[in-house]
Amino acid sequence: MVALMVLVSASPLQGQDRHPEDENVRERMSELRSEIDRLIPLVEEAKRARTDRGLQAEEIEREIAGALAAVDTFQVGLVTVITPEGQTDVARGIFEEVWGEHFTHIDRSPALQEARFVFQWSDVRFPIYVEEGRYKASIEYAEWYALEQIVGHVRSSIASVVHYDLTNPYTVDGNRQSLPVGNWAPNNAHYGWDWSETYRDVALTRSRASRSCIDGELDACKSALGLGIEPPQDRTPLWAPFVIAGRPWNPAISRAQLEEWYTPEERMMRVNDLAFVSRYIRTVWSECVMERVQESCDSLLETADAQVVPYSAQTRSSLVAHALDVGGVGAWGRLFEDPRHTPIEALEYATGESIDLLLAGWHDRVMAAQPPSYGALVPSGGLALLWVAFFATLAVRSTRWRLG
Amino acid sequence: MYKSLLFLHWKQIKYALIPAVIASFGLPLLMVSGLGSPAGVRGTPLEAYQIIGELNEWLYMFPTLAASIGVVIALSAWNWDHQYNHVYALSLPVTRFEYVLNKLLAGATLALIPVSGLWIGAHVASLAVDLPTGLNAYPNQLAVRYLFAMLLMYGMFFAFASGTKATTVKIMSVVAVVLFVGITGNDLLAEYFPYFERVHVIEAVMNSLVDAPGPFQVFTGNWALIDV
Repeated sequence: MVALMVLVSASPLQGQDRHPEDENVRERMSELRSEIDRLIPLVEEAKRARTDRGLQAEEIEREIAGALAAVDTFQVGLVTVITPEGQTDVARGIFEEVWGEHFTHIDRSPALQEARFVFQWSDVRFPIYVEEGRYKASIEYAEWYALEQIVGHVRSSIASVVHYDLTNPYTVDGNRQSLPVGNWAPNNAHYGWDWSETYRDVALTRSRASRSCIDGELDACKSALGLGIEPPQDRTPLWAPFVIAGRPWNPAISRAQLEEWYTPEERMMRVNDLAFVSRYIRTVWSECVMERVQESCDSLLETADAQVVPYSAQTRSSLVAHALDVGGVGAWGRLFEDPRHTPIEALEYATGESIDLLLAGWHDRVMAAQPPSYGALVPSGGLALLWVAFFATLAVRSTRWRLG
Repeated sequence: MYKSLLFLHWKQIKYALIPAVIASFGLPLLMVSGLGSPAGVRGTPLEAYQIIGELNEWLYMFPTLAASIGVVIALSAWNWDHQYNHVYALSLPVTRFEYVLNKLLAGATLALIPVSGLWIGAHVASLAVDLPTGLNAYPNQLAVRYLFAMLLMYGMFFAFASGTKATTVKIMSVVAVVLFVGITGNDLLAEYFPYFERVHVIEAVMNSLVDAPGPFQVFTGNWALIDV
């Protein structure tokens, strides 16, 4: 405002103001003064806003500095946790709960020996960070978290570190990713498996092998899980052979294997589910799907990798989850101990059980997890009747007319 | 008393019940049409994933139909009372409590007719397809849920219709005002109270209606005739 006043007083208009006969100049000055008066409140408001924002930023920075300045470190299982002082008890409670429920089967994990978890409580802004031994703070994603979210975050963070440790090619034991069973274990294999989802997946899988498996044929389960496929087919990247156009292809899955898994119709539909980028492959795909040439369908599937195994990766992982439960403490380490192990050998070694026994246990567990389709019918029906009774009471209580 | 009211209600609603019964009977059959063959009959084998996928598109029609029929039965229960200024009811030597209760039971009895239609239709539909291993048909459970949903809407609208038009207008007005204020006022409140940034009042109210122990929980459960 002051600058504007100076500007106005120093302008040539000021000189002209000494000549009152110039009406136009006076009018112009009057307009400028009005304009300045209009701008004053806006300038004040902007100043206030800037001050407020600065105070907020300072407050946040103080919170972060305070939280990170005084920290405490403690150990839960194999996890080292760093937490702001004063939040140790809460952090310890959560980590002990999560570790005790889901991770006791992990024995010695080099990555976990290295891991640092920066934990902060909910009234400051950054609940958990896992960043390979370094602190991390950011004010851009300020958010409040409920306790169950924080517990879930701790669970998935530990699982992620464990999974990284045991499958990453650059960790202590070298090329772990080449372990055949590594493809079977997503990071949620470490905790709380939803067996009813596995049941649903098994029940809805379009495969004759799966149907036999549901009926209790364990050899069919073994087949539908893809346990019969030997490396290297089971670790081939998704449809990798298809990037090489033209015949001859490199068969990965045998025709006999395909016929064991699927009926001819199912094989055709399996191809129909897949998408291809190569023009040549698209031609064969079209022969299969549009012209219904069975040979084209089968030749496409023959070149496929584990993606054409009847059961999904999630369902196959459920066998690993079951094996970890059966194997108990140290099972995870044993599962990945020997890179020469086939999946069957790795599972047997980790659990100490034969594959048939393990499969029988897995089958029983899946079948027992059939979700109750109308499980909530009785309580919800009872509730509906109570509400009907409530409405009926309202109706009969009306005083619109009465004789008695 | 009950029989008389049942007969009166039947006279009122019999023509409206015909399409309700047809729809209830036919809906399960429409759902499974084209999905496969009966057991032992040659044809395209059913695919479990396909059945579930295609049936899902029909599921919302069951609660919708149940609610519609419930409302029609409820409104028709009070139709002649309002039409003839309650002369018939007032001429009866009974209390209002007794009259309303008998009327309520008579309407609930009539609700069993479309529910029976659905129950039979669901059984026929279940028999008409050869379910693959792992899938099961739930005709009885579906019919029971259908009955509960229909009775709930019947009870609610029966209570509405038992009052005067003025009462109904008042209640509807209150609901409309609450909705309007809730929707527009929540954002305003959120500016002053951070709590309302995280909790939306109308959303919370809606959730409380459809979650237990809310009245509409029966509508949000599983309505699948065929499931795992």
